[in-house]
Amino acid sequence: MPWMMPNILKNLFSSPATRKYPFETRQYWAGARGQLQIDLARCVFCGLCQRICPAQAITQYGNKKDPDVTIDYNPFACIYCARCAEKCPSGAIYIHESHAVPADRKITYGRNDISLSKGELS
Amino acid sequence: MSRITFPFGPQHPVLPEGIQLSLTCEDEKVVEVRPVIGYMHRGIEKAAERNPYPNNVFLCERICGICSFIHALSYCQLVEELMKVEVPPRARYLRVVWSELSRMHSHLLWLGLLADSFGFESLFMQCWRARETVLDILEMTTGQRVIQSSCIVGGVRRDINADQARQVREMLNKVKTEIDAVLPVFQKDYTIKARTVGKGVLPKGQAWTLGAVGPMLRASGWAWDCRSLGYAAYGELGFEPVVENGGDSYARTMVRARELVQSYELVLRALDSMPEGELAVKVKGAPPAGEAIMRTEQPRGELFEYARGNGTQQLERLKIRTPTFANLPALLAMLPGCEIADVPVIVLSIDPCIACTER
Amino acid sequence: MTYFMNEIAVDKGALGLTVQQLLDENCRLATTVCLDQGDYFEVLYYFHRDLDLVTLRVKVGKDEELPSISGLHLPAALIENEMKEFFGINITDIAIDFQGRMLLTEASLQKPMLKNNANRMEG
Repeated sequence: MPWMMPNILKNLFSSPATRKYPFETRQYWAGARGQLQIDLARCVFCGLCQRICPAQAITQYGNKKDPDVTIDYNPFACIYCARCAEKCPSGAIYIHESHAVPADRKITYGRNDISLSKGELS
Repeated sequence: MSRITFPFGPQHPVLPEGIQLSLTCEDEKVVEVRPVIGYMHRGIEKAAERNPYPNNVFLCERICGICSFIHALSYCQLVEELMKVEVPPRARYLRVVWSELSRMHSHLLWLGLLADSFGFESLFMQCWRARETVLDILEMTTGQRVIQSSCIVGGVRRDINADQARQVREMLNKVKTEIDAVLPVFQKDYTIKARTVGKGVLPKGQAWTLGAVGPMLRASGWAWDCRSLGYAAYGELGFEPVVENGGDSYARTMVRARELVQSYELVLRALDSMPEGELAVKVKGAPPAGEAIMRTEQPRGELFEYARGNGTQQLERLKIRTPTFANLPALLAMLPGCEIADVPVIVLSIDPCIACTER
Repeated sequence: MTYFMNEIAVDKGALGLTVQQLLDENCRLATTVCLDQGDYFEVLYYFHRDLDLVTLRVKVGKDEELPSISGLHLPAALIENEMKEFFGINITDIAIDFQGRMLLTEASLQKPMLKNNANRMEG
């Protein structure tokens, strides 16, 4: 115990090491990989992201030329490696620094942000 | 005397993961141990045969959450060796920086868990607070705290620029101050010595024949560290293994404590001597038919990887022998003869990583 | 890498003798690797000789028996159990035999690492 005393005294008079989350949130580091967003207005539907995704979180429905081609992104399968954002030829995939907030159901995004969700949390 | 057999684990306060040791005891003395493993098996080796080889980096990282960077590093080096890819020097130095930061956070985590295993809660929190800063450095430089995903076949994905390097040094100095505050406690404190000195002794000869690796082996007097093979940039950084001669839990604690300081020095040295240049080379084609072996030093010991390519995008076979798998026989040899109250400390002193073991 | 690789091709019958010779030279088992080569298995035994490695390469037919080396070198028992479970090699006299239940359970896919074994891992 005597060897712990300096630490104990220091901790007694210093400010707490924890922060009062959620009232006080931490600053994200520049370049942190928090959330993925696919901008379908810029997407050219080349299908590269689907091919390189290690977690098969991105699925393209339909061919490039189809009028109803769309991309389905499943954040629950995503491992946030950001390889798609790195390789995307049209710069349509962004990675945001902030993390996703807790939610009670799964949401997927389609063209014009139409929800393609296949139902409630299963 | 009558014997009683009872299960230690799979749920136990000192075990963060599921492993069961079936202990047969006579009074308070353990006489026989039988391991029951298989709670964490995920079939990663099989999955790796199905994925294209660049994707396996992200799979291998997920074998274990603590040594995740070194798993990715060894896989990348393995494929690079198979495909005869030369990695740019800057990437090799960056790999050392992240490897050593991983080792620091793993050892700090372990020191905290050791304190926790005999109920020294304040020391546990102190260690984990220091670890938090190391994780912050990792998040700042790679983008994520635990699963860094910064290593790819052919090099690395992120750079540490001059401004970040300055910040890393500042934060590391903060960590060093906190480490300096806790290490004397581990070295000199009466309670810690009472719980670790002479517990779980592994003599020098036995440590070698039972296949112990990493801090287990080095605490028994062997200067045996895969980093002296000089992979990545270790050959250029003047690395010397840390050795202790006690062979008991206390010696293992001291090896890890000294390695913590050594890692701190290695990170700073790597940052100082990092050459300028490319971060990654483009890797084209598929792994050719052939075999390759890679051995790297994880916080827990030697990681052995074997790969066989067949000219396609998939590897034909990927074999991963993790350090805890090699340390298990030594654990089973150390336990008989000890008291039940010492079992948690001895089990913890091998730094068990069950997710690694069962892959 | 800077270490040497000595490779010795061994016949199945002479395995025990060669392993004993290596152990006498103060080597120890690092790990074994099993490969499914279609109609036979290839088993590679990697030994640590200080920081170097020594390899023993053994060919075993799919329905043949392979004598265990765990009688000579106890740490081999775990990895031999693993090979037996994952590939279904008939390894005899393992010092600690888990009877194919070390990592897998009754409900798991048996002999999962065989080439022609369909992988059930989906999604």
